[in-house]
Amino acid sequence: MSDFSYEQVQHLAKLACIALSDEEIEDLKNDLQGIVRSVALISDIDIAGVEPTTNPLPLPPHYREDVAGKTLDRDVLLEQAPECEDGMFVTPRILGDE
Amino acid sequence: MSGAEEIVTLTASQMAKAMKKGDLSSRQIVEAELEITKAVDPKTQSYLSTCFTSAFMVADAVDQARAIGQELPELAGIPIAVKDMIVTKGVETTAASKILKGWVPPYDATSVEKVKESGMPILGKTNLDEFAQGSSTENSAFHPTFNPWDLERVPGGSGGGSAAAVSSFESPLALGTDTGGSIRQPASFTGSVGVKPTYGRVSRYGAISMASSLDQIGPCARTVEDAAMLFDAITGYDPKDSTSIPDCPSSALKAALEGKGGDLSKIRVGVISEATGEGFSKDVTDGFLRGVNLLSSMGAKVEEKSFPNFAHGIQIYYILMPAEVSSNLARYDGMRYGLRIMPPDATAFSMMAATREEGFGAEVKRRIMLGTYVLSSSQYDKMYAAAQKVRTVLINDFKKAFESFDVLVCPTSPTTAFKVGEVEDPVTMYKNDIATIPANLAGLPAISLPVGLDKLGLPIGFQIMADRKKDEVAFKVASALEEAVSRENDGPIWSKAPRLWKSGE
Repeated sequence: MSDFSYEQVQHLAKLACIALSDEEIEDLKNDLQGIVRSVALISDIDIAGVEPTTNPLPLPPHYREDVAGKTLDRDVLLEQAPECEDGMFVTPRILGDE
Repeated sequence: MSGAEEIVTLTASQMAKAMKKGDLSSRQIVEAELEITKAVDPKTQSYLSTCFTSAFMVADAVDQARAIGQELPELAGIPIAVKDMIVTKGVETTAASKILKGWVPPYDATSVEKVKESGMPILGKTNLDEFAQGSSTENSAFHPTFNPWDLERVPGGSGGGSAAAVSSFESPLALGTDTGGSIRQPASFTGSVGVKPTYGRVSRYGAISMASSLDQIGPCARTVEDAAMLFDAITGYDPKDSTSIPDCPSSALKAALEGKGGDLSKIRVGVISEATGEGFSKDVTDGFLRGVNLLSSMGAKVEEKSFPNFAHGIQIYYILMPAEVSSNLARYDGMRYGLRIMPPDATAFSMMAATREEGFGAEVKRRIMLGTYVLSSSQYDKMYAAAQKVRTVLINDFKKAFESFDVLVCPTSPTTAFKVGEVEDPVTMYKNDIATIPANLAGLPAISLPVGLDKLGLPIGFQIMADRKKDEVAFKVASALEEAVSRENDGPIWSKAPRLWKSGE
C-alpha cells in the first residue's frame, strides 16, 4: 500500500466536497494511511466464490398498498431552508467558474 | 412517595406499578427527574437540550386519563430521553453536529411516534459523538459527556449521553442508536443495560442515517426488564423503512420475566474464545468469566467456541461503515436545510465545500474521506467489494455457530471506562468496538449488561448475542444473569452508581 500524497488527499477532498485546510490535509495523510494499513488484513481471507452482503437481513421484495399517503407540507419544509423564495430553495449559481 | 431521590432511583417497572396503584403520578416523576437533572446534568452533561415543558403536558394528560379509569399502555407516564441522532418533531435535532445546529425536524421518527403513543414524556435530547461517530462522546461539536461513575472518565460512545442520563438517574429510560456498538459500549462503561435489536426489528425511519446497513435504534435502561418493556414498545413493522421485518411480534418482557426464574437448563452458551485474553484487560476478562460461571450455575450448557474471523469484524467495519457514511452524509450540502456558509463570489460547489468544511468535525471528515477512498475506482474491488464478501464469511460463521448455540457471549468492551483525553489515536479508539461490531455486521440482536466492577470500582459489561429475530432469547439469558449478578453483589450494579446530586459525589 503506497503512502497517501498531498495531491491524493486533496483529490479525495474534492470528491467528498470538503474545502479542507492544508493542515487538515497533512493530518489526513497520516490518519488515512494508519487506518488503511489496519484494515488491510482482510485480504488474507479466502473469498473466492463468496457473494457480497449489502443487507444483513435481506427480505423478500414487498410493496406497500398503492394508495396515496400524506406528505409533509411544502411551507413547513421550506421553513428550514437557508434561503427560499416563491416556494423554492434559493441556491448559489451552479454555472460559472466550476 | 415524594422525595425526588426516592422516585428517580425506582426502575421504570417500579414506576409503572406505583402509578397503577395510585401511589405516584407521572407529574411527580417528571418533577423529580427535573430536580435531579438540574443538580446532576452540570456534572455529567448528558443532555444537549431538555423539553420539560412538553414533558409535563404529556405527564398531566396521562395522569388525567388514569384518573378517569382509561386503559393505558404499560409505559404510560414513564419519562424517556432520546439520543439527538433520532428526529423529534418540533424539537431541535443536531446529531451533535454544527452542520445541523438549529434544525427543527418537521416529523417524528417512527420510534419516537411509538414512544409518544405509549404516553411517555420526552425529557430531552441526549449528547453523542458527532453523527454517532466515536466511542467516547468526546467528539460532540457542543460539549463532552462525563461518566457518572467517575467524572474524569468518558461514558463511552457514541451514545454516551443516553447511557449517562440513565445511569445518573436523570431518566429511567433512553433511546439510542447502534451502528458498531454505540448503545452497548456506553452501557458497558456506565453500568447500564443496552440493547441492539435484530436489524429490522425497530424502524430506522427518522434515525439520522450513519451507515444504513448497520444502524439500529434500541433501548437504554438500568435493568433488563425495563429495556424489555421499551423494546416491546418500539419494535414492529414500519412501511416507511424498507428493511423493517414484517410479522415479527415482540415478547421481550415475557422473556425477561421468564429469565428471572434463573432456569437456563435448555440454553446452550458459546463463549467466544477470541474475545478474552490478548487485547482485553485482566479485570474485564475476570469479570466476564465470573458471569460465564453464573450462567453455568443456572444450568446453561457452556462451551468455548473459537471464532477465527471475529476480530476481522473491525477491519470489515472500517471499510464498509465509512463507505456508507460518505454516501449518507453527502446530503449535508447547505442547500435545503442546516448550515450554509457562503464564501465570496460563491458557486454551488464552493458553498457546499465551505459548508462541509465548517460544519463537520475532524472525525466525521476523516470517515467521509476514508469512505470516499474505499469507494474510489482504484480501491473499490480491492477494499469495498472484498469487505462485503468477508462480511458474508462472518455471517456464515455466525449461522453455523447458532446451529449449536442459543447465545454467544463475550465482554462488551476490552476495557472499562478510560479517562477523558486518554485515547487520541483513531485506530486505538476504533478497537473499543472490536467485540460489538460483529453483531452489527451480521444483523444480530445483542445485549450488554453489567456483570461486576473492576478494581477501580468501574462497571464491566457482559455481552449476549443471539440469532437473528431471537432477541427474546438474549433477553431471557440477560435477565437470568442480572438476577444472579445482583445476588452476588448484594444488589444490582446500577444501584451502586454515585448519587451525583449529593455534594461531594
